Amino acid sequence: MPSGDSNDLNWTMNTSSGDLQHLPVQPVDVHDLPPADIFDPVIEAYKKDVDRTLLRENLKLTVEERLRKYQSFVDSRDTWRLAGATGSSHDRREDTASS
Amino acid sequence: MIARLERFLAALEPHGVKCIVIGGWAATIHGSARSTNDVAFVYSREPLNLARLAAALEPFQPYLRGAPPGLPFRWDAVTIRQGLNFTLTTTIGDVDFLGEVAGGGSYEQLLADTIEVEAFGVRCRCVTLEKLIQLKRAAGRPRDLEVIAELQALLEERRNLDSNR
Repeated sequence: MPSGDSNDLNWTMNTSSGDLQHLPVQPVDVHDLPPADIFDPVIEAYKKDVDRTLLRENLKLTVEERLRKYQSFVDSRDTWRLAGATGSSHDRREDTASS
Repeated sequence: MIARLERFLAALEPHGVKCIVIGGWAATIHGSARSTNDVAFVYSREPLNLARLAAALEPFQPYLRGAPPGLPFRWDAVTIRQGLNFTLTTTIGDVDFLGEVAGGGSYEQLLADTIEVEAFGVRCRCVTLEKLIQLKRAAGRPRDLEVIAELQALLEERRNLDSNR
């Protein structure tokens, strides 16, 4: 639920009564976060699977080129999704007709 | 519909809406190769900005994402003031407008950790790569582990690139 106008209040649902209640929100100290490059063995394990060649190529591009490249990928993905959906419905019609 | 960042930026900029790009599109801006559908902004809660945000998005029929159709939802400055974080559908795609974000706080708190970028003739503020990693960590979602790993790798690659220049 959205919280109210005051920064120190938040809304929550009382599950037993179904009523909305105000609850104090713990203030987030945004300056007390671990650094971005902190070592975390779990993240390190995931990092081994990252394709860095893609990242290096992207870093050579301008911001606009990165956005265009991504949108080109999205357009291509959408085209193939549509083709897949159309093909699936076409197959179903043929199956129905032949049975 | 896949939301496109530039459509939202083109809608927001003429109204002078104060907001910061975060989330998956911010990662794309920094060079991430991962796919994202999320367009997410942290917006300023200044009264004038609420009116600007309401006016900028109103033509695109914003509605609460996942809510049943027909609810009496009105997108205006009063609604935005009374709420905080909005997950919306619009005619130009899904978008999140957050008054506060875990690990980043409000627009004003996040502003120091942003960069200005320009694309498609529009300028916008985007959270820094370092802060984006911190936000993903603070969100604490298991599905973000792969994302954080990629963003940290991106940070390392960028530093390598900078040190070799």
